[in-house]
Amino acid sequence: MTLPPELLEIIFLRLPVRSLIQFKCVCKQWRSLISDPYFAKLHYDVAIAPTHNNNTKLLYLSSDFSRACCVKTEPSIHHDYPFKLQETYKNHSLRIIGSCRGFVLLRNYKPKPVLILWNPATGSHVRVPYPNNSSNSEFPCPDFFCHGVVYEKSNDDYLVIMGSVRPLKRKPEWKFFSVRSNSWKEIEGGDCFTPNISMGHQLGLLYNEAIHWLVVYNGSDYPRGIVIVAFDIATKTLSMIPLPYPQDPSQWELSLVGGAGFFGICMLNEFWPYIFVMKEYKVESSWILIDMLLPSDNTMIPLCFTQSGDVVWMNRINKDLIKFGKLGSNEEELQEFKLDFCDKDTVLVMFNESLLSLPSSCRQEE
Amino acid sequence: MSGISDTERMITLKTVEGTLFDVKSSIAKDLKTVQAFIDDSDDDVTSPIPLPNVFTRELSRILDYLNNHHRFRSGIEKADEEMARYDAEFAKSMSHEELKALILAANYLNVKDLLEFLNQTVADVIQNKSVEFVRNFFGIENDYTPEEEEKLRNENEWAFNGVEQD
Repeated sequence: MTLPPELLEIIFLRLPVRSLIQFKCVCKQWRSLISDPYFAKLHYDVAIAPTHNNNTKLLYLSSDFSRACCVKTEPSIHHDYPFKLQETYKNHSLRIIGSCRGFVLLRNYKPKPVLILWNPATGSHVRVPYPNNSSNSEFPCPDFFCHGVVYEKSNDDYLVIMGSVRPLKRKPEWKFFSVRSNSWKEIEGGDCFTPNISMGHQLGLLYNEAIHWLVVYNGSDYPRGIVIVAFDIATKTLSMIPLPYPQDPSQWELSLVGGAGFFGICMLNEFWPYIFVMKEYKVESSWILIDMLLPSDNTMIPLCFTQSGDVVWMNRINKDLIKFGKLGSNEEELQEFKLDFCDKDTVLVMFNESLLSLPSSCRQEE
Repeated sequence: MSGISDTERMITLKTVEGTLFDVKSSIAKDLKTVQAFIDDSDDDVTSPIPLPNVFTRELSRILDYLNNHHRFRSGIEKADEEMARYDAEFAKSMSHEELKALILAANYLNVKDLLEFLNQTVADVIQNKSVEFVRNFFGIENDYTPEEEEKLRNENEWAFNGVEQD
């Protein structure tokens, strides 16, 4: 006796991506059900719903670029199954620069600079050419400092966003690439948000239908200094969120930290870190200092919050992970974890696995 | 003389084999298909409601589950642990065939909570199992040729070389 497709689907919604990929081999009907794009969307929406008790994972490339490794953070930090990297990607200039809905945004410099949007579970991928820089041939591809990938729901489209500043020109450039239209467009209003070169490559923080980075603000509405810039996905505009208090970049190291519904910033001075979260998005007065156990040195940077309100930190030097819990609760135990196959350049990104495939691009008619 | 409260009304259900079950109307509410039938009937339903797709074994299990869950919910605070223990035993007590039969019955009768629990149980069972196990469990015949299946496995090799292998 076998179950009808509608009941099978309900069971499938509760299975992780890896099981579903394996079970495509059960029979052709199952492959058809599991490969269906509507099912992929439903499965992803169910998996990331807050009620589902499924934590975001952390993903990184192994140091030999043979695989993309996954780490789960709850109930305790542990390795999850890795994804295989295609032969063509095995390349020391490969670097993760963003993630969204099961897709990973990668940057590759050899043989030519290119961006790659890739779902490690389904293999669905697209190569994104760097934007045209016909104005200055000396710098064919500026080194980008703010980058990320987001999902535009109204269009079922994926957008790759870049904010950069070229060494000789102090003016910032903000652009976004649409997978569906296969083209780059300027983002208006980016003149006053300059990516801060000293902050290095930032992974954007996705929150509330926008993606965020730390930049230098030199517009007229606010004193010059470091702020959070938000790219709103629906309106394609940039706006500013002030920090909890003005920062002198030479004294503090800043990084955005999110996950589990939190929008926060970590401020690290030469001794130890502070984490602020925004209780009400974009309301400046709603920054609060979180009261929790924090590492008492400055080699650790926060990676993400977990559903139970803990924070996973990474040691910048040896890439060890440590989970710190709430102050005053029984969960003050520190859990330390060593990553496999990592090196000093390893970048970890928050990752939600999915069965999704990219929309096909259609060139715009002139 | 006080009137009989709504929760004390009894509904009679008849299975495929002709067995009759007397069910409190408060329990019958969780059998949404039955409740819809009651709601659609203008008068009180006195004659047994026939359930042509449901066997005695399944209805007995479903009512057992619902009766216990009602008891746990209306009881003392420790009920959560007891309920979890009951659920675990309930799931373990069934063979795979019985589990599938119960899902079909629960689906027909539209018993939402039980159906969710059963679906999760099946998902937990098959999650880390091999493709062959899953075929067996669902009674599915493999309609791939050996070449087709090998190609599919090779394309998704990473999924089969997991950290946990059952």
